[in-house]
Amino acid sequence: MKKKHLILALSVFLIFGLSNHVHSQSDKDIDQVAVDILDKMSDVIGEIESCAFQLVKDEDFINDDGMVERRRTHTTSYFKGPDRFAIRSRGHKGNKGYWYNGETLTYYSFDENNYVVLPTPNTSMATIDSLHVTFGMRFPAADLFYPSFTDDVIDAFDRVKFAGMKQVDGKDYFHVVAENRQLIFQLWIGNDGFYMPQMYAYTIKGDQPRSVSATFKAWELGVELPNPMFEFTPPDGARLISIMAQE
Amino acid sequence: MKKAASNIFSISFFILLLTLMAPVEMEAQRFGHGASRGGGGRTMRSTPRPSTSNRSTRPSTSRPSTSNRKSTINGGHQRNNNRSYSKPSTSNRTTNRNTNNRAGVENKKTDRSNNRTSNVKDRSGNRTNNRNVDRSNTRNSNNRTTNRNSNNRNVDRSNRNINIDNSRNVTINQRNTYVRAGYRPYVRPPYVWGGFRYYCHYPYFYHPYRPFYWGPYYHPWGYFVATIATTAIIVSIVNDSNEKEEYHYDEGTYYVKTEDGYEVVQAPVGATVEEIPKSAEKVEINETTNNYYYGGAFYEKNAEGYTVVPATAGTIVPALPEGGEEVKIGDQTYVVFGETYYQPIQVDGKDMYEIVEIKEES
Repeated sequence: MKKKHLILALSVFLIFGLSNHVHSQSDKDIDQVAVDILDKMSDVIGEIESCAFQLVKDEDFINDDGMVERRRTHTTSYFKGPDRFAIRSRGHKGNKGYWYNGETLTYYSFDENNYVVLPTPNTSMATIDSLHVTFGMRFPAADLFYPSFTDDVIDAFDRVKFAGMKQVDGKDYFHVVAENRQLIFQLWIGNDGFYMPQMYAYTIKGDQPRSVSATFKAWELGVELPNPMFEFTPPDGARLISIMAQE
Repeated sequence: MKKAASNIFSISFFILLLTLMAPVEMEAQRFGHGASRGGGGRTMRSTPRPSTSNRSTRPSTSRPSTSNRKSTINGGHQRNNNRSYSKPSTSNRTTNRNTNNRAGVENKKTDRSNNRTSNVKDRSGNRTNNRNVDRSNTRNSNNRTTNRNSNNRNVDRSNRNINIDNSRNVTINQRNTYVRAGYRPYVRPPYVWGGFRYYCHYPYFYHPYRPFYWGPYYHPWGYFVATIATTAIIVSIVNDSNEKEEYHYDEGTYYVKTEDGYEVVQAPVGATVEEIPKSAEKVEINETTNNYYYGGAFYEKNAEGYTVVPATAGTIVPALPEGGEEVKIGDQTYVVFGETYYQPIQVDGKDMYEIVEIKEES
């Protein structure tokens, strides 16, 4: 008899638990137009064999006085094929560069003249993902280049909406907004036939909301990029140092 | 009836087990990329979308062969074709999907002059890649034997070449690199990275790590000599395992007897000597306490002489001995000796180091 009660209690718990789970999934509000636009952008990015772009990113940062401060980072990125990239970044987190040649990634600090060389997975995207998870490295606009970007957005956000066509500096953009409990993500995609991302913004919710906004400059698609660009040559006196992995 | 109840129980238990086994969400860049990782990283899905079991069937079957794939920067757009949005199912669009397989690698350069990679450390002290860590004890339970792969280094100190064979095992006694909590509260917010908070009184100011040479009698850890000076005295301590350890002490340097001679080791915490070298510097621990710093060791003065004590967080030292390792932690680079992390700082225009107090994020 006691066993029956236990089974009944467990079943009720499971049914309630599962129905809550299903309920939380059904809270999603996904706009098909937004999905189509994101798919279009991902289709184009998925066809690019090489590219170069610059990114100007403004990020809220809590300074030593506990105040929110806005800081700017300039990044120039080059991607070639599935297994090469080079990124140069200058901003409040220092002047640094990344070179990936399909086998190793070098992270070099221009300010400190030291570098780290790490064996990597054999694709740019797997490398970016792996370095982020293991060492907390963040690559500029990397989210947009993940191969399942649209599905990632649908997965990560509860609401995804097309917010209409917007004009900025005389150019037309598709404006997509996505939101979950922690984050509001906005993306402006160019309506110029290429459907490339032109601007994005994150707002991190919380008691002290912070935001990140970035603008792409000078997209170059299918550009010729010689392989030596992706090889790192240590400058004179540069030291190879160790690196700490995240827990 | 009993059998039916038993079946319900089994099924329920199985479902519960599956629910508990769902992978933990991982943040990638700004938001998760469960879909890009094959759909396994997320548990939350909208109801109109197919179940996770359907999603897991997505790859491989309809994927074009890799030989036809273009060498695109991300391997091609991966789309979940089972999305239950109003999009007509007749659109048999094929997209390139696999990021793990590469095309266009024919020009891959394999001959590289610099094949060295960095050591990867973690907070537990485990090291991978180039560094083999032998955790077997050599002297007591706190000892750690680290096999360094770097080649012999020729260290030139004041026109005298000392050849240090770093391919030999260098013993790092973790007990000697334990850090005591600081006395002064920290006004500055900590540097937060990887689940830990790194507290310092001074801001980070990078300068390259250049081991300091304390004089002709000073030898770095790992240095071997066949014989030691007759002026060396024997110093004994009782370690944490209640075992007696013997060291030979001469002019600020501690040696351990080995089969073929004597090896220089860290100053053992608890050892008391009557005198320390005159070049030892006074370092402030708090407003009323000073330590004496020599060769990377901290001494406390007492009635018997000078006793080796652990480092105290917040202590500022002008120089570091040989044996440290520069480690990139997020955007900052520290010099690490076992459990002691030194942050490069600048005080009155002079390059110094501050001992970091590390706390795990709660």
